[in-house]
Parts: sequence; structure tokens; C-alpha cells
Amino acid sequence: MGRGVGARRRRHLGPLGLRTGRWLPEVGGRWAGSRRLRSRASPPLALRCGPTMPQYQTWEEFSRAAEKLYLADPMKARVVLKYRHSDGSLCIKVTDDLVCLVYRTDQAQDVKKIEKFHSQLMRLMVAKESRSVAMETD
Amino acid sequence: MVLLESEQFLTELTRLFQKCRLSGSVFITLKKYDGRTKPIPRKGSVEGFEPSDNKCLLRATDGKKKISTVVSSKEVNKFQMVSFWCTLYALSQGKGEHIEQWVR
Repeated sequence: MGRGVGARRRRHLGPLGLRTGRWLPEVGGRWAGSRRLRSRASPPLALRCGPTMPQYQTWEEFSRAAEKLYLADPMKARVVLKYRHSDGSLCIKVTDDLVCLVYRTDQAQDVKKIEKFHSQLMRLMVAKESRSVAMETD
Repeated sequence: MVLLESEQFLTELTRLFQKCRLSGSVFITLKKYDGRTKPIPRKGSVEGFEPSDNKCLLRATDGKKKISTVVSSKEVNKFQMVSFWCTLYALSQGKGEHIEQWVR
């Protein structure tokens, strides 16, 4: 019973290894769930995380997706910038607490694009609804 | 969280950048703000609250110290011109090869 102790801990987990499973006493006792677990591979990382968090490699894709996310619900979305001078890296994240879009860079030309995007978003936020300016995507 | 006026916020932000020059990160958060000063009650609605449309919250932290400011449509120009990106540029002087890209 090499897997005995681990199985006891995992008995509340479902077949995918997530905490949604139930006991299966009707199948044959308290180890029934764990016997099924042995043959399952662990789920992909995307399933285990809650909200999706794509990291974009190109600025164009990121800016289009971020603009769409902000316009879908302006009150919910927020923009976070993280600047590390020691690494010379800048990371911009746009999220509405369900979906999270991230773009990282250490190139100066990208930093200028990020700055322009940030300013455009700030202008969008303070503009009155009747005169909202459409953003220009790169 | 310290709420500051816009000039004070920019000064403190510059200080944050200078402090985190050798190690650490500066986080800047931007989100739309409707001017509420009281939390939303679980039952009923806030009386006499008019959501305003032309403000946003700007927050900055280095992990320890937190500052914030409210930017309205009148002040947004100030933030575009004397933007904290000038600070970034000043700090990135060390990485000399891309300086000409900062010049508008």
C-alpha cells in the first residue's frame, strides 16, 4: 500500500485532482476515489488557475485585447504598471478581476508605446461619456 | 493609503522611483473612479449619491509606502505633460543606448 497515506489525503479530490470530487462509497469503500486518481494525469496549469492570465508577446495583440477589456466594463477594469529599475523591465497588466492580460518588456521602444497607451486610457477614464474618444489601436 | 494632491503625488512618486533605483519595484495602478466616499451598503442604496464620470484614481506603491491621488479631467493634462515617464527617463539615463527614442 505504497500510496495509502497520500490516498487518504486525496480522498476529497475528484478525478482531475481538483477539490470538486465526492466520496464514492457506492463503488467500494473510502479508497475508491483514490484508486481512480492513480491513473489520471495532473490537469494542465490553465485549469488549476482561477482566472485566465495570458501573457502577450506582441504589443498589437495586447493593446487590442486590453482596450476591448476596458471598454466592456470601464468601472471594473484597472491597469497596473510594475517598473523595476534594477532589471530595466516594465510590466503592464489590465484586468477586470476575471481575465488578466499581461505584457512584459525591457525594450525602450515598448516603454514609449506603454506610456502612450496609459495616457490614452487615463484620458478615456476622465472623459465624459457623451464625448468619449475612441482609442487608436497601434 | 495616503491621498495627496496632484503636485504632491508627483513629488512623492519621484521619490519612490529614486528609492527603488537599485532594487525593488514601483507599482502604479490606474482605475476609473465615480467619486464615492462611502462604502456600498449591503441592503438598500446610498442616498444622495451622484456618480461622477470624469475622475480616475492613480495609486503608487513600492511595496511599503502607498500614495494615491484623484485625477479629474482638469488635471489630466498636467499628468500628461509633467508625466512620471519623465521620471522614468531620468532614471534610465544609465541605459544610454535608447535615449534618443524618448525625445518627442
